Amino acid sequence: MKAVEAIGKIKRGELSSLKYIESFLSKIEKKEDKINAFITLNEEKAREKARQIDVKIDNDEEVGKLAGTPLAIKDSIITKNIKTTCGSKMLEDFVPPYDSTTVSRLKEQDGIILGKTNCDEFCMGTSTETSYFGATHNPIDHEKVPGGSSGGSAAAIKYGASPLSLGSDTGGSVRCPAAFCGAVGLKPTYGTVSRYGLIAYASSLDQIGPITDSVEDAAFLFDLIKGKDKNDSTSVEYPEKEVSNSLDIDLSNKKIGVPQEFFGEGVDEEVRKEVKKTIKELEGKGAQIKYINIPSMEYALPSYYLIAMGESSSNLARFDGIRYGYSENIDQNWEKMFSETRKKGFGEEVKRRIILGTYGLSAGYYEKYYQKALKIRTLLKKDFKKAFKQTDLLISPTMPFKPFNIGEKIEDPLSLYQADILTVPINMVGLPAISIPSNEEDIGVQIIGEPFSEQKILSTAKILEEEH
Amino acid sequence: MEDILGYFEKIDQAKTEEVSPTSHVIEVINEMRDDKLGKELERKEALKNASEEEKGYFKGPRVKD
Repeated sequence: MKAVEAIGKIKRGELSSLKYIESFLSKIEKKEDKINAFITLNEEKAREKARQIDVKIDNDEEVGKLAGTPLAIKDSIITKNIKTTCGSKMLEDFVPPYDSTTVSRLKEQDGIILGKTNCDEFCMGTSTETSYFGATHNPIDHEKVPGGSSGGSAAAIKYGASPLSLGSDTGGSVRCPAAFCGAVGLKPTYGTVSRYGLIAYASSLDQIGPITDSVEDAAFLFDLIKGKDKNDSTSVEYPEKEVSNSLDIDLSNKKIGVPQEFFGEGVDEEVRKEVKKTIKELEGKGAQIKYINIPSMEYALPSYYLIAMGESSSNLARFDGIRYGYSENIDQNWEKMFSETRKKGFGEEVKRRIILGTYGLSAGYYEKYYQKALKIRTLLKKDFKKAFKQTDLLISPTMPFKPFNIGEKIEDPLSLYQADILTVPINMVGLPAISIPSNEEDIGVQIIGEPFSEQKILSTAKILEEEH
Repeated sequence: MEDILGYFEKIDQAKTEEVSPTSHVIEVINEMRDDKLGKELERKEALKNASEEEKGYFKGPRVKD
């Protein structure tokens, strides 16, 4: 049952919020041990909140748009009085004193936080294996990774632990796990969802987005979290009040672009075939298919990593062991204390990115690495602008290959980075994109649009969802 | 680490002579808020996660040996 349908039932008194939540808690009880989708569960408080909402409904009082629907929130998004670790030992005991804007907006609509989901440490990963709290297993095949970094959120959706979830996407962290777990993941246009209370990885790329079981639920959740926030100066007002009010689209007057570089070297034949089948389906619905090029694509991945690592090296400087987070040797001098805290509090991948990011920003290397990467970002922006002059939407695979085994790539960071090749260009340009399952549940199709074209993307995804 | 840096060298090949860098992808105009005191965290709340505190302040390590 879609969340939007369940909410209708709750509001009509045909289903209680408590009963709805219990149905997810019983799945958690049965399967969570094997999947490890959550770092923290909030069962008792969730039940208590559900009872309160049920009383309100019984008394014919007004309830919010979520009407007591449970939510799985990625642990990179802070929640008042609920431990928020971002998958790191550094924040193992961190209990935030305030809510992120996304969470407070969902709470205002009577959403209930069921738990905080597992993720790669500080969202740095493609497999949810770098989490200090252990890897999450893919519910489709427990030997495989669920993708990352929002692997816990996507796995929770897949195994029925929550009807709605939030992830955060810096280079594919919403779309990748959605693709690997057979879920729907929307990475919104940069700036449409407030980053206030999102633990910063790379601020110019980070964006929170919904991971759900259906396109309709993704659109519904996006509407609840989007919009300008005075606490995030990069947030913008969304041009439309709602995108979920109309998810119908006539493809017969639409041009869908196929960027050739997204089907090139490194993309598995099986993935290519599946996505091409999907393109045929859209053609069958009347869309005109146009083959286009994004020439600067070949530089997208290295320049993305330089920007992301550079920004993260600066953002993660805040973890000093004094104001919050893991702390070591406060009786030592400043230098010793700071470096010991960070040596023991951060995992290997986080340290690698801080070191490389610092290097890329350092005097003498800044022009060669960081600034050059920002120039390539301009090239990408131009290439996509040109592409959207000839087309309405672009389509590609989300991931170059299917989910791999847990442990298979973790020792070779570069091979893991390469898994992001098809998702990072979207963040570099700030575009919206969705991943939805193809006919194979662990192969995702990515639909990319111009800024603020979420409605178009979601409606096209809905057509494919109905086909599959 | 060497391998990763080696991989990054690839960007040298991109032609960017006439290209200016993009650090922010969407056009936003800087907006100033009114210089008024907003609702802030209570001191007790703000110190809740500190490793050590003293007299209502964060306690840091020694600056001098």
